[in-house]
Amino acid sequence: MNSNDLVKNILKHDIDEQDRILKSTEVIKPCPVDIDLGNLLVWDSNIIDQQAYKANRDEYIKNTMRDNMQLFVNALWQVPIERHDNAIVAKLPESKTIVPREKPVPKPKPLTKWQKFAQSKGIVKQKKSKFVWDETKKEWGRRFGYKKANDDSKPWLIEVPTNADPNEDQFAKRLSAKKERVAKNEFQRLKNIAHANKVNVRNDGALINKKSSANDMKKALATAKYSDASMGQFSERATVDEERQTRGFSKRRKYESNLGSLKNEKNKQLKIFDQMNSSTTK
Amino acid sequence: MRPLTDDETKILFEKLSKYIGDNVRMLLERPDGLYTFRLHRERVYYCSEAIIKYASNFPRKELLSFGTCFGRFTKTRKFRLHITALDFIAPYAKYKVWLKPNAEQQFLYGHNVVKSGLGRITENTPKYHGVIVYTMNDVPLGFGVAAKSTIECRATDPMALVVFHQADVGEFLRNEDALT
Repeated sequence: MNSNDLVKNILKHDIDEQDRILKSTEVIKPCPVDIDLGNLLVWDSNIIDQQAYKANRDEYIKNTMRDNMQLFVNALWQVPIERHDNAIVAKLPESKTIVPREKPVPKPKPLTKWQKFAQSKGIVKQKKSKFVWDETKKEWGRRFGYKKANDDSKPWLIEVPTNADPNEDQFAKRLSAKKERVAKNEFQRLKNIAHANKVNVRNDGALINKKSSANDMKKALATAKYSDASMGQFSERATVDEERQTRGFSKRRKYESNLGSLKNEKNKQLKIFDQMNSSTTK
Repeated sequence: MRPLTDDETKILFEKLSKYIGDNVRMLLERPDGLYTFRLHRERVYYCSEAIIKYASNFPRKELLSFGTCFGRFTKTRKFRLHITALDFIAPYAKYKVWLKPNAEQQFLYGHNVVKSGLGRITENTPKYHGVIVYTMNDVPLGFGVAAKSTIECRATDPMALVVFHQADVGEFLRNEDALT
């Protein structure tokens, strides 16, 4: 059976070769490696073999990496395992390494006007219940929000008070009052934000303590012009530049009527033309 | 549609007087009726009273044009004179330039006028003043700006620019959608 033995020998030789190539799952390192499974981190603090590194750098790095990876996978298999639908999941322990903060520590927010007042008066926020009893519907409804209890925002009937004008639209009055309240709230919220950012704002949106430019002067002038009872109807009309800059400010733009007296128009245009000619030096 | 404001009128007249000087008065005071300017969609239209009354019957979006479009106001409130105003400006022109036949075509394609193409030019044309460009047969071709005064024109070499092109009748074909 010489040929049989020969075949067996060859096969065994091949198997030995394979085993040798694949190496064992055992890795021996002079200094034990620090494995942090929580962060999936392997920290190898072994000294680098300078000669092997210089001889073939890529090979050395590949080998070290392979060894560390082996150790990591060995540790991974030690950890308790769960099974979810044909997938094997390892439950990782908590991470050991402390990672530094990504963002800086948040600064304490400056107090709003109400918060300052409450602090000074010693007012403490009372915890309120989420649900309130609605007498008319005879059920519990939210204090505020979707389907709130005692909701009177859409009344089917509003009694006209005795001292009110009978022709006044009470429903419209309610709506506009609500709009005003919302706007006031928004305005105060913005004021709080401005104050928090140390920006001092005047009522019309202009900044105080800001070095005013010529533009600011023009805006202030435009504001002043329409700040009277007639909303600027009788003030002198601004020049084109001023108009452009104050475009959002005064809402009343005065144009002549389209079908007005054409004769008057003609006279006015002639006057403009004469003025123009007299002022130019040509 | 609305009448022009005082400032818009001023800007318009300034532009017009660059080409026709004092004769702007002729546009305003016409013996055959009351003509005036109206603004519609940033364009200035010159029309008679009757036309205005007819045109005011149309809703703004559907009204395209009425009378004669003189030009339009740009976003920064500058006035651009269009070629459609030529018919009214040409008779009152103060400074005129006549072109030789071979230069006509160049001008109609939108190029500036070279001295070799210049036939005649009115005396005492100031430099950078508005001029009306004619053929030798006194057919108006468009507007321009004199690049050189009359005296300088005589002195320069034949290849120098004498008139900058502003608008020409060729635009009726080239830019017809921009003209209304």
